[in-house]
Amino acid sequence: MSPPNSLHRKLLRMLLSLVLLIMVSSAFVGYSIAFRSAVRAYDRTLFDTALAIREQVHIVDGKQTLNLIDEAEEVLLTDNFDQIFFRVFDARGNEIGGNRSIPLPKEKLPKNKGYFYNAEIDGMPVRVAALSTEKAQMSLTILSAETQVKRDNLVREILIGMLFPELILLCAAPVLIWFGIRAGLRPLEDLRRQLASRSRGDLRPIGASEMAYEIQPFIRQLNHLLCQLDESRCVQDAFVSNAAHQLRTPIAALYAQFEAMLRESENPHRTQIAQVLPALRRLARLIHQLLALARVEPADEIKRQPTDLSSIVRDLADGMLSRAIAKGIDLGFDLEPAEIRGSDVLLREAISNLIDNAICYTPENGRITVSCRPDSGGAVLCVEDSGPGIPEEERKKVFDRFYRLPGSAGEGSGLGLAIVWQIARQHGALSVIGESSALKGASVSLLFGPLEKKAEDNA
Amino acid sequence: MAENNKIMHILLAEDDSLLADGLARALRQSGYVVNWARDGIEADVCLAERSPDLAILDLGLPGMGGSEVLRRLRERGQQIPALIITAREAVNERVRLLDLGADDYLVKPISIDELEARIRALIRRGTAVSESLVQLGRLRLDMSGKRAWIDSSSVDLTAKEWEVLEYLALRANKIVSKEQFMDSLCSMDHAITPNAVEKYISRLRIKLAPSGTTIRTVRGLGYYLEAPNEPAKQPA
Repeated sequence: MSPPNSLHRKLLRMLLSLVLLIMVSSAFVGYSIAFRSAVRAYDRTLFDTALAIREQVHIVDGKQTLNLIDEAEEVLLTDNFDQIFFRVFDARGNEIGGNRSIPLPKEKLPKNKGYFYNAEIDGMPVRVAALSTEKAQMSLTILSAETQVKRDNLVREILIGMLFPELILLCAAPVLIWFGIRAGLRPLEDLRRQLASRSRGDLRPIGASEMAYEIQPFIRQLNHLLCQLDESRCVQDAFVSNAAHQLRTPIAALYAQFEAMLRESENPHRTQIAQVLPALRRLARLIHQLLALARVEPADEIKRQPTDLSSIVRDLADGMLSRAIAKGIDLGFDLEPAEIRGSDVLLREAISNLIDNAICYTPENGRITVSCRPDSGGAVLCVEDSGPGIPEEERKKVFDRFYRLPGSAGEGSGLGLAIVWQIARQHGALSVIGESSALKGASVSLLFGPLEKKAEDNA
Repeated sequence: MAENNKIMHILLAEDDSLLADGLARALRQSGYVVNWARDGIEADVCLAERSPDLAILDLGLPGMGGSEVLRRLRERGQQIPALIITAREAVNERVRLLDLGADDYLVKPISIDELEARIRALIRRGTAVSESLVQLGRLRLDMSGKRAWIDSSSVDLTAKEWEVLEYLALRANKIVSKEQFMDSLCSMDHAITPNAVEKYISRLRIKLAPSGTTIRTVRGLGYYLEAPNEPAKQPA
């Protein structure tokens, strides 16, 4: 069920109560109109009876008398459903004929006009038509009454005839309304789907023209925001690129100056310079890593191309080997062609960080093995070393930025594995830390998922 | 580099004067003659007129960008090895520069050791064919005469050992894959087994030991001839 603040639910509730109100009031109005006209028709018949009885009043010896022959009585007082009664009396209240138990009207009767009211005879509800008239200049009142069977039947019929369809409608209304709302809100759903299917970092404006008129203003605002985001991303990219340039050149200059001084045998400050250089190297590396992180960090659409992990490692091997040799570390490889889809630059960055990290934390004369191989549709890259390893409880934290193992020495900034993790994540790869069974130190593996289908390449 | 007792001329095109000064001082101490160009136009003129042995080009040069200087250099048909230094790193940049005719590529900050190693490799590559002498630290190879010396004493090598050494020496400080290695040795002569290669290499290791040049086995990849990073001596 949708949440209470859903548009869908709100519309359903509002429309349903409105429809209910309309249906109830239309039923009520319809019923009363139908009932009143039916009652009027029955009343007229009853009044006709009263008129017919008037014709049967004659003046005999200066007195009004009612002489109903049997046939006339049968015609007048017979009905399929109801019992019919009558009562005739004169202006002084002298009864002339009929049934005295018909109650009198409570109001003064108009002359020669029908007056109708409800009453009871022996506890039976009846309808009474009253006629106040004159016959041979003598006033005369005639009441004709009938029981309500016919009328009750009619009421029942009208009620059933009207309420049954209304009831069906009442059941159907929520379903119909629900479908209607769904169809009406489809553009919102379409928009949601269109937004959800966007890849990270896709900041192209949304096409507003084919959207519903009411949604278009929102889309325009959204596009405005997207545009601003895109601009600020470009600004950030440019910033990172410029920062790289602006930071690297002076550091390179310092570096070159110090290295040149270190080589000048007559320079009296060689020992101090030798101490400054590693710090400078660390600074350079830190800046490089920060820029790498900044470059990886934005939801960059990474350009994925088919690439072979083993050839990336081979490319890096020369540079890594000289670093390993300098520390007396035996750096070895076990490479099988392992094709994945990814960004060469970022993968190089990740793998070189992994190997660098291993060289940094593996003691002198240790061993490091870099391996890669295809694995269940994807690929695995693994760097193992004979170093002290990473304790189980630290394994999650080492991917955090600036996190370093407690008590660890060396030049690490704590950014290397964070970069690896970010890049792996961008490639949909898992970063897993374990223990190397062959070398007894740490092993860091990147598990790349199966190659994606061709269709997604073009997206 | 001062191999063959010949002075190597390097053009250094770099607009940051502190960086240029540092690099130039270090390179001069290693025996190179360094000409410093502050902008692209100066570099272009210098390359065209003086034809140095090697060019180090910064990409972000004022006046004329490093890649434009490089393009014009190659347009003139000059084969001078060109090493690019840049503050930006991006794979498409690298591919573009190599396409333009750059021979190597370094991202700032640059370690002098690394720079010199690359320079030596480029010069070796450029001169190995024309000049027949290759110097790797204290080890000297006469490519046409197929002979080797450590300092001034000659090393006794069999023909096969020479072939192996020659192949590795031309690719010093680079990993040589076993497959590549076997392929090239096979094509020179009849079939050769991995075991035989191992044997030649271990013999070479013993013979080269006094020179300080070592041949390492890189587990899973191949071999690596490591020439010591000894600065070239200024010719006496």
